[in-house]
Amino acid sequence: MTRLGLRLALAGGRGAVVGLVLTAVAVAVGTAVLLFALSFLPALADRDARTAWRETFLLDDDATSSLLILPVEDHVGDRVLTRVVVAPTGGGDLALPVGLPALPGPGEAYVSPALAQLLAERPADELEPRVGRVMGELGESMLASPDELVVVIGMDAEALRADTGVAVRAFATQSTPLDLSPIALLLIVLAAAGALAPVAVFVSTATRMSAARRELRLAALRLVGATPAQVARLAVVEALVSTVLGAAGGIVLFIALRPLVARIPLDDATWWPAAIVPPPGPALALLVTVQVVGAAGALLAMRRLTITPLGVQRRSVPRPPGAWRVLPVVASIVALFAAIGLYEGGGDVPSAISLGGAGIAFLGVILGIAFAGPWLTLVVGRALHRVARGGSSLLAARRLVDEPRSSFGAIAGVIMAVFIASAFFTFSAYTQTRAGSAMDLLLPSGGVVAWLGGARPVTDALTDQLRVLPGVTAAVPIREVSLVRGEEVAGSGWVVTCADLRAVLARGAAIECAPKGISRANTTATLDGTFVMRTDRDLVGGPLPGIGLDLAGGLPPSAAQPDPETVGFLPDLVIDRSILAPDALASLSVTRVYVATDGSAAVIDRVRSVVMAARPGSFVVAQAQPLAANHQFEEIGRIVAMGLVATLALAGCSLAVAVTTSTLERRRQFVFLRSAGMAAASLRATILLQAAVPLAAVATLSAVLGAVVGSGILLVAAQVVTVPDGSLIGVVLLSVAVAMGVVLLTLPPLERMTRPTSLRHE
Amino acid sequence: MTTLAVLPTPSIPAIGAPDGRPILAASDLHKRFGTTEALRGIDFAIARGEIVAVMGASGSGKSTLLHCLAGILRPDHGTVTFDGGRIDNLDEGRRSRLRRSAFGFVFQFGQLVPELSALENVSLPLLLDGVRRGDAEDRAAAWFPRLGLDGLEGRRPGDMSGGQAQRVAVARALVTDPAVIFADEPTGSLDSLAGEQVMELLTGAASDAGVSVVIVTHEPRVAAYAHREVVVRDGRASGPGAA
Repeated sequence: MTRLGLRLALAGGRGAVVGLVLTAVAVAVGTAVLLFALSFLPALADRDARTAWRETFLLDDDATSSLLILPVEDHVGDRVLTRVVVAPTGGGDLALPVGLPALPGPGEAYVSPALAQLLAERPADELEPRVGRVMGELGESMLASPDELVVVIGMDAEALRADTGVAVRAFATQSTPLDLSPIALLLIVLAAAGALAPVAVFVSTATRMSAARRELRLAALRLVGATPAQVARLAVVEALVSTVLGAAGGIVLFIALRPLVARIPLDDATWWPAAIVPPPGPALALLVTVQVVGAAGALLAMRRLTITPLGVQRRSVPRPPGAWRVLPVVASIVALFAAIGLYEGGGDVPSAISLGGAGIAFLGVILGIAFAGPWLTLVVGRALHRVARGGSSLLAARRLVDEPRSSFGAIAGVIMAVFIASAFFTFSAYTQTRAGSAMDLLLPSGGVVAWLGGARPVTDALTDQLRVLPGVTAAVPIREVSLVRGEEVAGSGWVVTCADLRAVLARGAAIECAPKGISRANTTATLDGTFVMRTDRDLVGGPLPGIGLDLAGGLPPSAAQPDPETVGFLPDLVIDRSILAPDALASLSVTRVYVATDGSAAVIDRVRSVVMAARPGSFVVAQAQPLAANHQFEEIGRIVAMGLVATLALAGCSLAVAVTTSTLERRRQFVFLRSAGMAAASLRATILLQAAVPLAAVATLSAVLGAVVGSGILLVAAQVVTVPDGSLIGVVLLSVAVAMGVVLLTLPPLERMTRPTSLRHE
Repeated sequence: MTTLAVLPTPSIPAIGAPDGRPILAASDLHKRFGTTEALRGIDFAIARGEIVAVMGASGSGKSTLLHCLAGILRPDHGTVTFDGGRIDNLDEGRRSRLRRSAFGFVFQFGQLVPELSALENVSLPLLLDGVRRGDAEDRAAAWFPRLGLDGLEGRRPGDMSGGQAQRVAVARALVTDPAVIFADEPTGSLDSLAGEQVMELLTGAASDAGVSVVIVTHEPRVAAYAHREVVVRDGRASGPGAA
């Protein structure tokens, strides 16, 4: 019987083979997606292990430590350059990480292959000063990814200690976990959940492709004496042929796509292809589960049918879907918000549980839409039937009313893609707003700020060096004083020429330089560009220790509130350096330097090189450079966008298969109608209307629902109220256009299959 | 039980065109499918209001002849003229329009759209021809009592007997006021009583409306409703009714 099942599946005619191949392809895509999902955490762990040596958590007493280490995130253009400055302290027996040929001496460096290549390509003054003398290359076991830019720089221990180098016992061999922002992690979980739904739709649609023929075949076998059990076994064997082939194809697809997937960056690093490996146990369980689900699906489908020797009968005519079908989607949305609320609120519930719950609830929303879809299709079909004027709209409307499940099944993949896209675009609109916030408020275009860490005094010499760089228009050193109230540091005052500050700050023009030389410049810019004053009245009227100034009575109070987004970027006071005595000024170290440039990447890299060469522990940020958290969003956004393209592609395949199947099911009627004079245009209109009407209606609802979910998540997770913009309509229109394009592609073959000349075969 | 409308037995006109000119004629038709020559030079003519039975064994070429006459198939050679104009050289769009407006069709079974009600099925050709839905349904409804289908307007094909479904198909063929109805084994799936009812209604209504009917059948009882018979054998016409 197994052999017969294999023969029937593999040699059951062209239709059967097409159905088999489509199902196998769908299973293969699903399997590959799941294998990639399973590989995600191991790949992260691999990355953590490779980068553990840069960690500083093996803290030790300075006296007994063997190493001073200072990891600094730098940039070359828009690429991240990880600089790890090291100095041996002589204590203990220092084991080098595998891949580091030797500990670099002061001024020496070991670089990653990608950085070595960049050094060879770039002009010397952009990069070399902050790297030093290259002694060799780092091994891949020290790198997060093949294209990572890393340099290990040697430094004198005394100097590094002064530059905030951290004393550690040894190079770490275990890493702290990847620090993804909570919303970023949430997005990854939701995207993974969302990716599976269209695959499931494709599998179910592809399975329907040859269902009718298979059922007739099984009935014929019953006629010649096969028992119901034998028929069930045949159905299982046929299903397993698809799932076994699909699982094998999934493994091949996984291996084939791995190098491409490895190029997708996360946290500023791509991946080592070899590191993308699913854990064997879960991978095996997945492959077995695919087979079990395939076999169970075949048996379940059999239960709905009575296959008799005289043909196939449905056990019962399915009742029309009811309005209660919307309840699961509503319940899932409530559960999703609750889970996110728990996740964000902390409390006793472990974050893994609340995050997992959010993922399941999000999947529930998607499945809920799939569950409610047939009812919505029925409603749309009834409405269309009421207003139908022509034959095509009548045929389409009746089909929607009669077969709401299969009609929705055809468009389900696209609907889900619309939902995911609209939820994501709501996020993305928010993150783009954030990306343009803090740095844009602080720095003008082309602006750079260098925070100079460490205790070594920095004089005006550094700024002099910066000022003479071509492309630099201003370099303003900032000295800082703490405003102390009792024992607490209550704010900061910047000692700088007020006019200089106005020249290098994004909204500096709005700072009013006070005549007495002390400006209430703790102005913080709000998102709409207006300035507000902090109202910490206690700050006003105290002495400034060490520099001989007293603010008593010098500043007017203000009732305005500060903007929390920019507190910390701007001072509370600006103290004109000209009012300080020279010795008082000399006692203050430069803590940051603001640089105005022409904005070119090369000039900014030269600024970085000068600053880093002078103070290796500095943190330099350019206006054009996205903040780390926003960059993460951008990367995840790119991943989700790629996922959406894949989702739409899969949904398009599902739609094409479903439209073809649905038309072929009615081929006989269409051939008769066309023989009786139905124009090909009417056939086209019928097929298009059948897909377009529910698609437009349900996709709009789905997009609104996605926006509600996206906005709700942001409201719960980030207390941000967002209003979806025009991109929502764009998502709907694009999806409907793609779907209609797919349907149009199916029309020529369908026209051929239903042309009147086919009548002689009916 | 449905009461059938009492229709007069069709009067049998003289063979050939009562008005002296055939409404539909074919000359020297040839049609080949691969290596099989289905038609080998058939001539055929039918007059306005005439009922012609095309008889023959399975595979003799009778359905192919019907398809060529109706403009469904294009003959490889020969001509088909309808109302004095050639139709075999029209493009598919024009032939579709012709079939929709001037011809009616009744097939053996499965021609009704299962999702549509009987009324919608009958009005479908009118809707496809651009007639307003209200008007189309009014015109369709008028055929129900005439064909003994009273009360079945809202029924779906799946809820009707084979005979009822075939009468709905006859109504659909007649609703556009065609000049010619083509019936391909119209009683092939019916028992003899239902088959007789369908034939009586088809031929009676056609005669009333002055519609010509081409019936393809291998049943002599069905052919008996025709004014004359054309026998097709190996792609050639023979018999007393051959043109």
